[in-house]
Amino acid sequence: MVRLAMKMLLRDRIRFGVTTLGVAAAVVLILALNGLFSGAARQITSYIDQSGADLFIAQQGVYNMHMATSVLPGDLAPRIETAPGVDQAVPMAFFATNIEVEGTRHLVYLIALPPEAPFGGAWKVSAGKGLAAPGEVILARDLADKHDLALGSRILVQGRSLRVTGLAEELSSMASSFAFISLGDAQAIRGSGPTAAYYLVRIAAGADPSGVAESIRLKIPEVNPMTTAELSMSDREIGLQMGVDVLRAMAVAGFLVGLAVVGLSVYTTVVEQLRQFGILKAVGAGRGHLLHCFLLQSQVMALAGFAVGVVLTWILRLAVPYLVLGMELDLEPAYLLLTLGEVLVIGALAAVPPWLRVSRLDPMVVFRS
Amino acid sequence: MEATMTLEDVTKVFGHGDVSVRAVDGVSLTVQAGEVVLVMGPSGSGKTTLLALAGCLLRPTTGRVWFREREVTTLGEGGQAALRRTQIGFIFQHFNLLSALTARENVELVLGLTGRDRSDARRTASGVLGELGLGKRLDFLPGVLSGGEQQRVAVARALASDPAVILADEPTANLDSRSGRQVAGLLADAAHRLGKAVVIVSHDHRLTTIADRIVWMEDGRIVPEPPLDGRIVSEPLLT
Repeated sequence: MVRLAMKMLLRDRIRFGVTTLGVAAAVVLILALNGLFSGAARQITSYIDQSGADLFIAQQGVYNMHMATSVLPGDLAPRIETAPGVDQAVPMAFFATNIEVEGTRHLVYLIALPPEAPFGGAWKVSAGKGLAAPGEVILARDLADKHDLALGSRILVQGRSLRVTGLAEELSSMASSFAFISLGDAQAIRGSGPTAAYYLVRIAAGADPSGVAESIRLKIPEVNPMTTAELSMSDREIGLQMGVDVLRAMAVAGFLVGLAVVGLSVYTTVVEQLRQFGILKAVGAGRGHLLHCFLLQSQVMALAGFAVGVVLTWILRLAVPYLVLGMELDLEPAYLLLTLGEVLVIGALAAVPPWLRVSRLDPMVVFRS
Repeated sequence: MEATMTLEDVTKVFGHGDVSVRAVDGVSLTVQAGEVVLVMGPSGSGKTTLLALAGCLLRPTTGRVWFREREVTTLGEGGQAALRRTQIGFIFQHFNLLSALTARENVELVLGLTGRDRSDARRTASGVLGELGLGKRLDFLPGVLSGGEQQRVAVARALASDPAVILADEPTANLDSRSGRQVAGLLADAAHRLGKAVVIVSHDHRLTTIADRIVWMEDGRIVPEPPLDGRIVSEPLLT
């Protein structure tokens, strides 16, 4: 039955190829959308993950960086540093704004640190420095390249002219990028006085991050200390939640497209070869044999489409950063497995209509010319 | 002799009400092991429907079909399919080989359906085809075989699973006289040497030479003797 199913399926290679491409397109749709959102969510937390801090301290009630505003006094560092297990605390301002480059505005998340901060600056500097002094800005390399900016170029941040003194990689994401300025410039731009949004904390060697966070909470009840992992997860979840409805809709669309393509292909194969299935029934093939045949055919089509879809998505993954500034596409093994499961369900469901059709087939077809 | 297949007062009606057609009407027939029964009659007389009823491809509207001492009309679809693959071999006018499979694979397939393992099925298929003179045509697709060769593959497929009954629908109709004689000889051999119960539906008078019994059908019924030797009496168009 396996051989028969395969030979019948591959008899029309063009149809098999078209079906495979159709399923592959659906798979690319599902994988690419999820991969783009996943990549974007990872980019959202790239600063948190790469800052070098063990803890982030926010205003009480603030649990993420991107969808909340945290305001803390600017002189909290000495108090934080008295908590057991704390090595260093660095104030940091963080806000979204537009920067103007050659008359074009770009959304950036500004990270402002004291010029002498021992950590928290750009982590992959490709030119200049990673921490800004007053009047300076560190920009994303790809954003600078796009506008022919180099070290020494000037840009406007809310009307304030800043000189580019550093360029760094991995600062761009799908819709924005990070830039670094000095804490003093940030306070001047915002008119906020001596405040900070967060404190980045490094803990003493061997100390437990959660334990240190708890000791800070006890010492300064008006703040919310979080481990870097906790804050990163919180921001990532928010990023994914923003796209989850779109993802679901696309996954359902991809599923239906895949189902329609495989189902239609198996069905037309069957309709074209009804007599052959009539013969099979006449020589004793039962409903189980027929279902086995259709399941094999539809699963092979679905799996071939999945394989091609994964390859195409992989190629797309390599091309995306060159096609769209700052965009990345993640191919997560867990989501690949989930999509594979979805494709197998498509294969199983697609076998049902032809099976029902052949089950109702008039066996007298074998006596007709 | 043992009655292999028995049709007991079998009727098959297609359609309903005014448009119903009584294709087979109260037919009783017994076929014994080792016997060739030739069913003859004009087109539309119900021969093929009778064959489909005997082969569990159709269910009778009334009446019963027995296989040996077991009534098979009450079997479910799965039971009837199992009976077809183990106890009944079909040979069709249009050969009805699976066009995507080679001669050997066509025979192997039937054996595979009965649960035979692949190597055993392959060996048996090659053996049966070899006996029928197709040893050099094992890996040919049906499309490149002659009509006679295709029908011999069909005979091999029908015999491969060693069924008790062979049902043949116009097995020589699409063959030249030499191939027709060959196939007729194979069917006679299946009955007389291998002990199969063979039922042949045909217009081909040459097959009367191998028949142990000839059954004549007209208008869905078995009639005692050939009606008018095939002559048609003219009737006035207008009365």
